[in-house]
Amino acid sequence: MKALVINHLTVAYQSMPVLWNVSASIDQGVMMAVVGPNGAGKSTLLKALLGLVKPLSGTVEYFGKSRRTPGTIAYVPQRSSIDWDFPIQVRDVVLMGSYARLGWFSRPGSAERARAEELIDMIGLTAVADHQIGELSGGQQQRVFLARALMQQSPLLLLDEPFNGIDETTERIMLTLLHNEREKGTTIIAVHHDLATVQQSFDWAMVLNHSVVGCGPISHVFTSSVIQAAFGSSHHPTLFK
Amino acid sequence: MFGYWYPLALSLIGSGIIGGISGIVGSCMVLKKQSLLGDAISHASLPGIVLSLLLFRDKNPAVLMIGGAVFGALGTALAILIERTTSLAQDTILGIILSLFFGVGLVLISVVQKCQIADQSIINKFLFGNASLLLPVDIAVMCIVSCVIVGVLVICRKELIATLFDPLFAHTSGFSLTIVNTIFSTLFVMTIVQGIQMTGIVLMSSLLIAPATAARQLSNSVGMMCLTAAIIGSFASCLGTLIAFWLRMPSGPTITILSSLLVVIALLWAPERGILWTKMRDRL
Repeated sequence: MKALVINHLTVAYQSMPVLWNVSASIDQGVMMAVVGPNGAGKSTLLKALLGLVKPLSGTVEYFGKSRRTPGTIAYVPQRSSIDWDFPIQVRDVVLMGSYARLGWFSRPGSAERARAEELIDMIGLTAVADHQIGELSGGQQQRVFLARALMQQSPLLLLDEPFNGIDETTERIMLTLLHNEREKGTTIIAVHHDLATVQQSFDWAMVLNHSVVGCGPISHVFTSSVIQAAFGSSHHPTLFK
Repeated sequence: MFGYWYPLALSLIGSGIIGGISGIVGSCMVLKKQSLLGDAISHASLPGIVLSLLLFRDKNPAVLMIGGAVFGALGTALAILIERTTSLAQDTILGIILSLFFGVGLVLISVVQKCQIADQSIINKFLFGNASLLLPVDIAVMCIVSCVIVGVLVICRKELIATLFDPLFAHTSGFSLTIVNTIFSTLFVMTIVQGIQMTGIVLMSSLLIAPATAARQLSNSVGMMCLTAAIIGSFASCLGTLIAFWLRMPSGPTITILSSLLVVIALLWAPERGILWTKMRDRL
């Protein structure tokens, strides 16, 4: 069974198509980078998968089902979309990851709290677990959101530019955790800007420029012809030397 | 003596309840970045209150408040509808709703005055608030409504906080934003309409926003912010009512001035976040 099957998906903002006839089939347990030039529709694709924007046409199958149930997808948003002054502590943000499984009105219990503490320890933030999230560095904040996503124990993990503007320690911790998740069978899809690190961090890639230029294992897709078709001939010629 | 103390005691109890519940609900409003919504709802309730007075010829606050609640909800629903169907910014829409409904309310007030249905004191009570006119039945209604509001907030705490902090996450976790936002709007309308008797339509939003703003300076969790805002709101309301009683003036302005003063103090001196506090810490 495929993790995701996208069939002829078209998404438009105010009648301007951003994604055009996107079709792709993504295996379970892969770690896929979604790359493409600015405005290519990468974040829009994630939003469409999450059901946050309504497609004009096309369908998406999640693990063989046409409907996405709560908890199927965990999502790490872009840092810029969060209010960092919000009065909430690191521990409570991570604990939020249990909400989808708990459903309406149920409260997190001791098992959820223990799992949250374990994840906070794994991201190396036990010492600041009771700090307000705005007091953390950008990299630490990104780790908190990854921990919240891992807390969800979802089979599909979507990340929007997770490595943008973070420190080396955070990148190392996040990649280790993501690779561990992939080993457990979780399908990971991340919008990624840095073409130079795609091959070392991911095993699949989707090259997008409003429609799919290529999608599949890195060795098949990440070729100079595909990248040039998406980005133009002058982009990153050194990648394939 | 009893004749003087009894209404004062009723006013203080009412002030404490309204100030507390406004602080709690106002915290949600501030965290939801919808501070102007409180102003729009309170102004939108005016035509409902005056229309109830015209239709039922009844000065019973409960009847007038129901009319106010219907129009407050109508104003909120209209704002949401315009936001969904146009590209207008939220503050523009709320500004339009606020002035439209308030304008209609003022027209209706002139009709009430011409028909001599009610005297100016009733109108002033709703425009500027008067805690000294509270009756035991008003306190009972306030207690019940406030208990319902706190009950809903406690039961839906997890869903409401998740939505306030990260609506996209709440949506992907299976919590319908339409349901959660409807819960919020209902709680906002209930709180505002019952608070109007204390501070009046014109100044109600200050009782929602000021304690919450001061509390934000003093707390780093939503629960603590709500509790602190409730204490600040109750304190400002009770003291404002006491001063208004003493000066024989409407309670709305005194409550507003006091709660705004507390905001200034918190903005300057709150530990870790206050402007002067952080400057002094940096010097040491």
